[in-house]
Amino acid sequence: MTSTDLQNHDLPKGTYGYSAVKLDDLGASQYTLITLVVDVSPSVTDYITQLEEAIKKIVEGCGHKNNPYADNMLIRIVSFAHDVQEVHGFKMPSECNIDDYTGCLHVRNATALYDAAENAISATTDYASKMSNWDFTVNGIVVLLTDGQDLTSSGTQTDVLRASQAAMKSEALESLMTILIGVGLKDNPNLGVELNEFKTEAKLTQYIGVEELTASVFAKLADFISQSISQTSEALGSGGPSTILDLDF
Amino acid sequence: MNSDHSFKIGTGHQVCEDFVVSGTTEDGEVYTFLSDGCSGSKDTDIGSRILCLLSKKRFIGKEKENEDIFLSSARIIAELMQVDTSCLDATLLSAWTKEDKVFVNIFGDGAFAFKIKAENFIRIISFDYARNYPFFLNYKANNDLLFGWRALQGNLFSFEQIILNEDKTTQESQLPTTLHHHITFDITPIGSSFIFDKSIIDFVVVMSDGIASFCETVITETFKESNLVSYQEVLGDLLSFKNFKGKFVERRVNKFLNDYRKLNRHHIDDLSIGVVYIGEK
Repeated sequence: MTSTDLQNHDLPKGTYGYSAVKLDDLGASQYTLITLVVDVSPSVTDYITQLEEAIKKIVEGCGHKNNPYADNMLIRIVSFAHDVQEVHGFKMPSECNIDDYTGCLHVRNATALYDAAENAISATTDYASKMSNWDFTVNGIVVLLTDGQDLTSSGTQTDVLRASQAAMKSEALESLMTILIGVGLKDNPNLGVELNEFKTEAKLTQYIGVEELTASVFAKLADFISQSISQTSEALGSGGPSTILDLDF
Repeated sequence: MNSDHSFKIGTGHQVCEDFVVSGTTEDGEVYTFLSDGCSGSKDTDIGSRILCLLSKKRFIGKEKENEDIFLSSARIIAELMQVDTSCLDATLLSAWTKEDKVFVNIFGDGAFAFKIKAENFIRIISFDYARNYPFFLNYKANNDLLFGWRALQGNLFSFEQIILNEDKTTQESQLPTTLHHHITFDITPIGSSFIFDKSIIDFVVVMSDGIASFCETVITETFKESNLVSYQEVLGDLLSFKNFKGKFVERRVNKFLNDYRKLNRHHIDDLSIGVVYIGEK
């Protein structure tokens, strides 16, 4: 996936940085920073195509001509396994070529959930801070999708908590919504308990548990994420957080 | 070149009577038209919109500047909308480019600022009427109103020129004589006009008098009071553009108001600002 016009940024903490569109290339007055963080550990092999389709649907929804906030969104896609890799950094949905998402996820070993979460939140805060210095009004949403517990992170839940706290303290972000989605709970009964605990410890905004992944559940998940993104964009400029949506299966 | 604008309702108003438009024509000329409706007349929120949108239409349509046609058109629109023509009791501040010139017209009170490329400070000229009865273009369409306005005692017209330095300090100033061959101007109580050579100008800003209505609320254990913030200080904070790309005025105004909110500062009167940027983005 081409990211030639994006600029690389280091983060003060952690191994991984992020990339984002140059501030000089942004024209609107306010933006919602969207980060989709997707687990690509070996257990997702069977449904990696559906994951890519879900990403396509979400990105397509963000950039759709009927979306009144399409010009006020910057979207970043991150995959994680033993490491954290950017599919692409923060960029306008209109700059995303939907076909490029076919084959964008590559299965790798292990699950560095905490590192990925910490990176996603810290990158959002850091870029928001840079944007705020240039007068942009910014809020953010981070969606973490995993089917397994953390196995290999160098960081801990506390590091994610610190990243969340830094985001809350930052005056650059009007609000930040962090949604953790655990999938495949039917095959892994402990997963829900552990992810719920992670949500509480790291003070994430919301946890959603999905028992079994089917085509219809994927569609529902994509819709839910799209709606959460819309809610966040809608709240931008109000000074407050967005509405937390429920997801029933 | 680029242009952008922003307008915000003041805390003392229920309806925003300021309005401003900006844009770029097919020929690449940039413009902004700003109007501040008189609070003493009815429906001036509509009137200020009529004045700005009609100005825009005529400018884009390359219609010849003609005050009489402009005013009668505005009054016909008001009548069609079944609002009294006094809704047009509103200021009209405009800035636009045409070929190698930048034009600025001021009818009423408010301020305009401009930056000359060769200078590292912003020049500000503000216009004021002592009894707060500014001249409205609409008066030219009604002799009774015009004579009534002229007969007002003590409503002295004045203007102030200041320089806003990069460090936000200000000082009184006059236009330098070295620039006289690049600038022509005519300042009168019933309208002022400025024409600049485009080659010397970085940007031009027009603003309503809302810039002079900022108050800071000071709360202690025993009292709460509101102090006026000088418009020079306000402009020092407001006009610090980070760049001139896209919605650069909206971004600046949002950030500025957000910062001021944290300082318990608010504007009582409506605030509007329009900018034409001449340089490269």
